[in-house]
Amino acid sequence: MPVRANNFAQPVSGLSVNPECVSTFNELKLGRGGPKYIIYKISDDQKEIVVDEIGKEPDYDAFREKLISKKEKSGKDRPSYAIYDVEFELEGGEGKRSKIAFITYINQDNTGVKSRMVYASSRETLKNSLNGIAMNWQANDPGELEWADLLKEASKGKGTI
Amino acid sequence: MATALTSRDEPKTAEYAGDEVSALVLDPGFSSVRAGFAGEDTPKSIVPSFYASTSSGRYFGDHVIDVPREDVEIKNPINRDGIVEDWDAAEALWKHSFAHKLTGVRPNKALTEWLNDPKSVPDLQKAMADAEDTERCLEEHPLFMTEPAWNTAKNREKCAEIALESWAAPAFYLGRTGVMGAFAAGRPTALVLDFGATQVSVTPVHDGMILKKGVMRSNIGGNYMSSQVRNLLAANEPDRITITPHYLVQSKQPVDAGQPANFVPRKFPEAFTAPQPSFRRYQEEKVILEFKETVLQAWTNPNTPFRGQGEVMAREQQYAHPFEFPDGYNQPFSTEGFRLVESMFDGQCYYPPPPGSEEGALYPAPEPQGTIPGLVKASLSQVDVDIRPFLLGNVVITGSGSLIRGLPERIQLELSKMYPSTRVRIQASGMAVERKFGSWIGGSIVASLGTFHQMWISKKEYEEHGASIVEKRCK
Ligand SMILES: Nc1ncnc2c1ncn2[C@@H]1O[C@H](COP(=O)(O)OP(=O)(O)OP(=O)(O)O)[C@@H](O)[C@H]1O
Ligand SMILES: [Mg+2]
Repeated sequence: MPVRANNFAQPVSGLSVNPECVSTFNELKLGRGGPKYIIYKISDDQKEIVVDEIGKEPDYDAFREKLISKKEKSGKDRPSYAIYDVEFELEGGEGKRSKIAFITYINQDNTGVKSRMVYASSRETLKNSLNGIAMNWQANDPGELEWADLLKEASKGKGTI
Repeated sequence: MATALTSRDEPKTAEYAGDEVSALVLDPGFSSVRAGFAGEDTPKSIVPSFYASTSSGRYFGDHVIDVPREDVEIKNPINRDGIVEDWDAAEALWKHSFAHKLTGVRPNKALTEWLNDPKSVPDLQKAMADAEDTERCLEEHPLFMTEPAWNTAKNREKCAEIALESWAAPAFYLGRTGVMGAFAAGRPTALVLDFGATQVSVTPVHDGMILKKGVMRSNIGGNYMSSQVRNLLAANEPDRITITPHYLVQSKQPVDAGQPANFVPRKFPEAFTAPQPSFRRYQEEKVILEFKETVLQAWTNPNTPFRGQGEVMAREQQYAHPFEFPDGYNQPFSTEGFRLVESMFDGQCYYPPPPGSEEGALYPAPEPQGTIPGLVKASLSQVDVDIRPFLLGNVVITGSGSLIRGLPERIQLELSKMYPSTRVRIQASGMAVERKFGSWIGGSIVASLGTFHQMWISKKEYEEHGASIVEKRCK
């Protein structure tokens, strides 16, 4: 969606993006032996967005498991941002395609309002600094991280009402 | 969580950028003003937006405004559209909300004594002047204020002027309530339904930005609901129910359900000039709030619509909620509680006002486009087709007016029926404080981040660029 001039820009938290976030993303874009997914988090001092971990295997289930089990020190769920390279086959054997998905996972239930607020209000900062994201995915509980749904979105584009 | 520092023991720093200085967060609404220091979980100071006005001045705060003073009038600086109308009163009220409990005022013993006991009359002129001596009261605290999406540019600049000029705050920021609600629910993209006092509003937020054209609102908020309660009570059979507020009741005897009240009215001295009608109305409103808390419930049976068969089913004993009025009159309400809520969805469920009452002019039956389904439909029709499913998948419900039993489920049913091929998902925090104070909490969190300093409009910038910087920075 292009930014419309009459829309309100909103209070972003002012967090910065650690340069490693971008360089790791660029490695993933290059493909070949680079990371297949990246999980990002907000640093403990709440000043910047940093790389939390990377995965070299395109194993969605393992990736999903990691996302949903991240914890804060308090024991509550910790939100994450993530990049996942969604690969899929075109129908009729027309070959493989892939789309780089930017995922925001903020569990609505087992998180503190503070982490929800900080992660939600800082997302655009990270997203805007990564060039080449093909799809945007917002998940607010584990059920919204199903592979089938991501695949559908990646392969067919957005649905209509 | 850091405890609040008062202005006295706070470090004196010219810089407001660090974590040392706590910003103040102010969330003014029609029903109350929420104020507190950034970083705290809930606002420490919650003051009614209604204030008492007498020939000797304005008085703020619960208890203080509940005293039936002679000829007292109850006013609100915000109009029924949710927009500030009386700036002098708003400034004084908001200042009271933080100066009183948070940043501290010069103690004024005479005034305090008088407020608690109207019979001990001090030199009022002097006492009032002392109390008002809280100018430059925010010299050490940046101020984060919230505002509705439909605030006018002029009003926003006025807020900046009050904060940075009158109160001398070192920095200022305005955040939109709709976005605060979406973020607090963990959603950069959401359709925010805010149930306030003056209205119910629908705000589409996409990637953290309000889609302005899709902001829709209607005056079916808490004030409308109170007006509906008045109409319901007036139409009660066999006798209309009159609300006698607590201050008019000296004592009461218990009576059986539906039997006339047996109470001794409070007597005022012969020479006492009674409070103005607005005082009584405000006191009645407090009873109506209790009534709403007790009686309102949403009809969530997926197979039977309320109007018609549902209305009959709703008479069942299991749905009955007894309510006792301050004079002792009591009766169970069941189907009424459903119909009141239903009237926000369906104008046909509206309780018409009794003949001669003004309620009908103030709060008429909602037109189809002014009901909850109508607002959502109008809002979505103004946004890109592509993002509608994402909005419907992230409907966030907030505002104290949403604390009605079953309301989120009722909205889920309605929207699923309207958009059968789209997955509708409702998010309403299970914690009442998060729905009551959602905007304040959102402001408290962002304003407490060390990195937020880049966002503030500093006093210096304001002096250099003038008020127009507000429109540029707090877009
Ligand atoms: N449990 C409840 N059930 C129904 N209504 C309630 C309940 N609690 C509060 N209300 C109503 O909610 C309204 C206040 O909501 P809220 O505090 O969100 O509004 P506000 O922000 O002050 O007003 P506005 O947004 O219009 O400026 C009042 O009309 C009040 O009567
Ligand atoms: Mg409000």
